[in-house]
Amino acid sequence: MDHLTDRPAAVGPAYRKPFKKKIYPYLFIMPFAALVLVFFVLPALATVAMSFTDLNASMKPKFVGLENFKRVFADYNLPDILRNTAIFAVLSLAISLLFALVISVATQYFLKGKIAAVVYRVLWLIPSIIPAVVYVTFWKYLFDPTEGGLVNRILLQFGLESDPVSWFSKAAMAIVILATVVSTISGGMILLSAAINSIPEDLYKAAKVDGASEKSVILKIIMPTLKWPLMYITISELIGFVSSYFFIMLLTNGGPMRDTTTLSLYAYQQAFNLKYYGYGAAVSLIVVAISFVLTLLFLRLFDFDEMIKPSRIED
Amino acid sequence: MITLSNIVKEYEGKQESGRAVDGLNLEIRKGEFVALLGPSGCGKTTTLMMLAGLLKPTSGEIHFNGKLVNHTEPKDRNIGMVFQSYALYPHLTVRDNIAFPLRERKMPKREAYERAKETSRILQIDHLLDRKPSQLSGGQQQRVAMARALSKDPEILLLDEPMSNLDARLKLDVRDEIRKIQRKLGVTTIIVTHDQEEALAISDRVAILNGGRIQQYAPPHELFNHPVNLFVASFLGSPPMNLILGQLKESGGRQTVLTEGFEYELPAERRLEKEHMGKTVRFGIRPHDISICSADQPGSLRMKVDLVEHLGSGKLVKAMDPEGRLDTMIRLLTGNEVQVEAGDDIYVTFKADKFHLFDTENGGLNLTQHV
Repeated sequence: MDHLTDRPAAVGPAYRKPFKKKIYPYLFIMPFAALVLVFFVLPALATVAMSFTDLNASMKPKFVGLENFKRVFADYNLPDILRNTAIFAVLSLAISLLFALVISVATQYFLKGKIAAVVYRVLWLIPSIIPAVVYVTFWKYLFDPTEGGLVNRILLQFGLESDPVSWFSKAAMAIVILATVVSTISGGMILLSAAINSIPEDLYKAAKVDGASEKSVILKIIMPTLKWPLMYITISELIGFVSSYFFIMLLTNGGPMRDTTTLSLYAYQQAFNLKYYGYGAAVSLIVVAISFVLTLLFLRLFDFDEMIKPSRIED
Repeated sequence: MITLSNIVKEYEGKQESGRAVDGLNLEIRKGEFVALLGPSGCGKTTTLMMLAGLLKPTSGEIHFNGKLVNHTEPKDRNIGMVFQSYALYPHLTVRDNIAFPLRERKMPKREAYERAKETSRILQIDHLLDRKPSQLSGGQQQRVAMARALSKDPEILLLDEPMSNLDARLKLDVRDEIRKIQRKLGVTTIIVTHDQEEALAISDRVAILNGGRIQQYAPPHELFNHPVNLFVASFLGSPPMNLILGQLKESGGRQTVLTEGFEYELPAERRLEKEHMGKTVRFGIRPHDISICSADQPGSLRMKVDLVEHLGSGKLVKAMDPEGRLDTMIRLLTGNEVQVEAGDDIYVTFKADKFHLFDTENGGLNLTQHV
């Protein structure tokens, strides 16, 4: 065959794509590119610029160099806030991953194909489709410090406590984590369930013939399949937990004292409650930096390079 | 020895009849290679799944070596199985895949790996032990699946269409190899396939299934030469057997089949019982049992060639009777040296010892006697 292809190809005028065709893809992208520029790129640049100024309510920014960042690291609140952030993010992530995993394996492997399993998973979606404000109201009612709160009422009814417990001052962080976790589980659960569902039925049959225990099926067949979805969920949820403040703000507004103030909530409070825009911008840039480092760390931890590596096939 | 008696499998929620397997009886001797062959939906895979223990029969009994195994778990049946999709564990290496059944039996890792290596040598994949299944070609994956099935030294090997994902050329090689390994190890093997050539080539005996029942269970040559009924006759063979509608007649000591196009006299040594006379039958003759002859040969029939297909090894001629009265086209095979073209008039004869007569009632029973 070689002697056929060795011959030089006939030389003719090379085909040139007409300009009209070349520009087509860009025409389609353009409107969205404009949106990306206005809503993503410009605010990011503005935040960076702001962090080097002393912009505040007076709206007369002055360049102050690294002054804001120096202040952040000298802030006496910082150690507590960082600790709160770490506790909130790590516990929320760990609990929501564990629940998502257990629910997915239970409903998609042990109870595969059962209507009840599907209904059960749908129920878990409820917290994530209810508007956050309504959802928070429910949690506040649940743990209301007066006798009117649901938990307190039950405890009093059964005589387990003699006085209503002030939950939000005793266990604010636990409530914040609980509420956050319950509403985030469904996201991971959907991805993991889909991944488990994609495992061919034949693999389970082969495992049965090979005498595999449930433990082996889960550890050697199901878990390896979940590696990439788990990586995605870990990273996206972690970034979410580190940078979200909305939920905590509605539930406790960082209190009591600063017990549930995380770094991103602190940035929000500095910028919008106290109108220290420059300082708030600097804090939020630190949040971004933390998220970035964590993402890289987890990509490495999950051995992401392996996934991009092409597979080798020969006959 | 494996015995299946009166096996019935009903699927829940299945409309009309609902029986995937309907009163199946089968006996497989130790060390035998048996194929379950049939069109899709005939119940062959369901039967294999019941042998594996992955499905439980609705009624009937399955015995392995005289022991009832209806409720024995797959892992306790001492079987190895190769799936159509191979079902290799994608995240384990070839070595771990092959050793998997052994490790699940709590065999120490070193011993299991040693066995995996031995098995892989038999299948000539010992250079691939460190690969993942995704890094293997289809043929290599097939071998790994075989190795995994054989590593635990099973008494019974179940193959579920193991070659349907291989290309035609590779199929031939793998087929020979499976047969060789089976002979060497002496493992009782049951293969499910819809490829009749494969079934006939590889097995000691073939069970032809249709509608959840066994139509015929016999060695390949017997199936081909002495089909018991119309289904087996029409299912086996490519190009398929000619089946011409006709009626049995007896007059003046001559028995004949009268079709719309011709009257064929049954040779004296193949005469039928009197009771069959008058029945409507299908006159069956395989394409290679029809030959082109000269016009003056006694008993020859005139035909008009409609189409000639070149098969490489010969020609497939499709012909009609000149008046177009037959209900079907006649297919016949000739050598390449025979000059024949569409539109030609030809004369043909049937080999007197090769035709079959199938009742159109009674499940298409073959009325002719074996000679």
